[in-house]
Amino acid sequence: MSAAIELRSLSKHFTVRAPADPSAGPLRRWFARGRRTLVAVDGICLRIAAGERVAFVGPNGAGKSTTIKMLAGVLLPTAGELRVCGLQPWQQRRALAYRIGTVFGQRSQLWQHLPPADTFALLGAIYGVARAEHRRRQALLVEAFELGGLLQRPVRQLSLGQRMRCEIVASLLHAPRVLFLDEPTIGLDASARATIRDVVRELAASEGCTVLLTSHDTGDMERVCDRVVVIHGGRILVDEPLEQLRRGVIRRKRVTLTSAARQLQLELPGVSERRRAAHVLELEVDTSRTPIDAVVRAAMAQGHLADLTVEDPPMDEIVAALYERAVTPRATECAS
Amino acid sequence: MTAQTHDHGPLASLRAATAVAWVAARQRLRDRGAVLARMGLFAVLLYVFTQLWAAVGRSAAAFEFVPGAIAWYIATTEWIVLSRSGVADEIQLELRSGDFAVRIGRPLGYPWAKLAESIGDQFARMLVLLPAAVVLPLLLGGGAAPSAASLAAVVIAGSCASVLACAFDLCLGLSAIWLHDARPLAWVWQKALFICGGLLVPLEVYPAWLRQLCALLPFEAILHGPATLVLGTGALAPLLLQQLLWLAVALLLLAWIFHRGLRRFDAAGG
Repeated sequence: MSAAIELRSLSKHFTVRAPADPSAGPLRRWFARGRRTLVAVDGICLRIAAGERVAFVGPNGAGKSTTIKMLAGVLLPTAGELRVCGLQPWQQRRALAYRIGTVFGQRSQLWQHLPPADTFALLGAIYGVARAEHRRRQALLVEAFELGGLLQRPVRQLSLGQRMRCEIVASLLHAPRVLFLDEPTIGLDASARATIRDVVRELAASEGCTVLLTSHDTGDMERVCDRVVVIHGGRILVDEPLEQLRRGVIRRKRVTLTSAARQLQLELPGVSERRRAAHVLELEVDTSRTPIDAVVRAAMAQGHLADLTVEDPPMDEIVAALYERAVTPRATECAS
Repeated sequence: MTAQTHDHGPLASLRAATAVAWVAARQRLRDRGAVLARMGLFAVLLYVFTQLWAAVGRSAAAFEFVPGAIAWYIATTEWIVLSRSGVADEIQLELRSGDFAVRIGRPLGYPWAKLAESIGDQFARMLVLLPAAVVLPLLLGGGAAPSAASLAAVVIAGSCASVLACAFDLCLGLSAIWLHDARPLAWVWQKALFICGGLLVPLEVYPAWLRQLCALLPFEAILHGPATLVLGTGALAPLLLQQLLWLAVALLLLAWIFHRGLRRFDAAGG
């Protein structure tokens, strides 16, 4: 299968101001303009086939957003090679713009004072999409993302979840071949997250669109992607199919039970106790050994359940676990 | 994959820029409160400064214009100044929020999209303020209205002046890539525009050396030039040529600043 994205020994260094020497006098500190090099991405290699949906995860400062900015042509690599849809992003940014869609969760591509309908029309004109095609495409996306009642409301009046759905529609209007989603569900409630995950997955699958998604939410990668690439300190630690990862690390869930019973006693395989208080029990559950519903049934057998939460372990812990069993840490050794 | 056809040519870029300008203009016209407030400010400024000039004229006979002509002069310069958009501030905000990084990845180049948006915004303001710029001088003792030809010339030159001002404002906004806060520079630029452009004081009143200096700067083509057309002391064709030359300078400067700015933006981590 042809590669939609190909990175070979890709690096990005930034020059940042070094902190002043605290022992120096105030005048010297004022004039001292020390600089240091910050390695954001350190020789990574990656090949993503057309139509693949890849989660690009890692802790804050790992190099995810920098990599996506290089892929989108916003930043120039310090070293290495990269191609997106066969184009060099920085040199061919304009040609690439027609082929990619980008969503940066904490940035906006919408005109805040305009209603989404006007922004979508404007983007249609900017991307040179024929009117009939644009109308058809917009209708499809508006229905998929349930934006029907919001099209005439100024973007600044929309909730975060509504705005983010509009951002994704805006990025998909020109039918990109590659979609970069940088933390698209950050700060969203469960319902908005679920809508975005489901629709992105369905659309990408039906249209053969390649997706590169960064997120701190393991739910995003589980629901949208088939492959997971973990980056840490600018290097790729793990690159493997989601199923393989699921069997290893993501199978663990954190379950908090609030029960009418003062003390719950659950002894199930793969279930360990993390914290206990009166009426509250926090567990870590290995879902490959005991599914969540079995834990819930066992708890309900001991008393009425007032509340139940199921969470993924924090991304930092997942990355730490992956770090321990990292198999592909050397990024500069690209396979030919 | 859904097949879509994209029009990539220069005409497509022009169409895209026109669409951006049109949406910006329409949005400006929708904002009725701001439009009315701006018209009120226009009336107050015009009243205050024409009265001031009337007092100066009576006491010192400081200028040679026919009585009331100053009302038309100030109406023209204020019409252009009050129609300016806040594009420099917008760019600075986009740089700070990080939205700049998202917008530079579009097929229509960032500075040209911003220029189109800003022109649409300014033209809408000019359209709304135009009736006030014609009626208020008549009410404030501006004497007979200028001929229709003079008014048409003012509208043409004023529109070109607005585009020119906009291009320089974009340069100021993009300077925030280096300066982080471009407001001090924009403040200096604005004051220079007011003084060297002859916002309130026609350049004819200045000493010769200062007039010569002003002739070397772009501000005259933005404010004083169009205002002389309404007084009948200027000519349209040389003014348009002067504006065109300055516009070429501004656009080259804009392209250069954007190109250099991207490198700087890249080095700083986006």
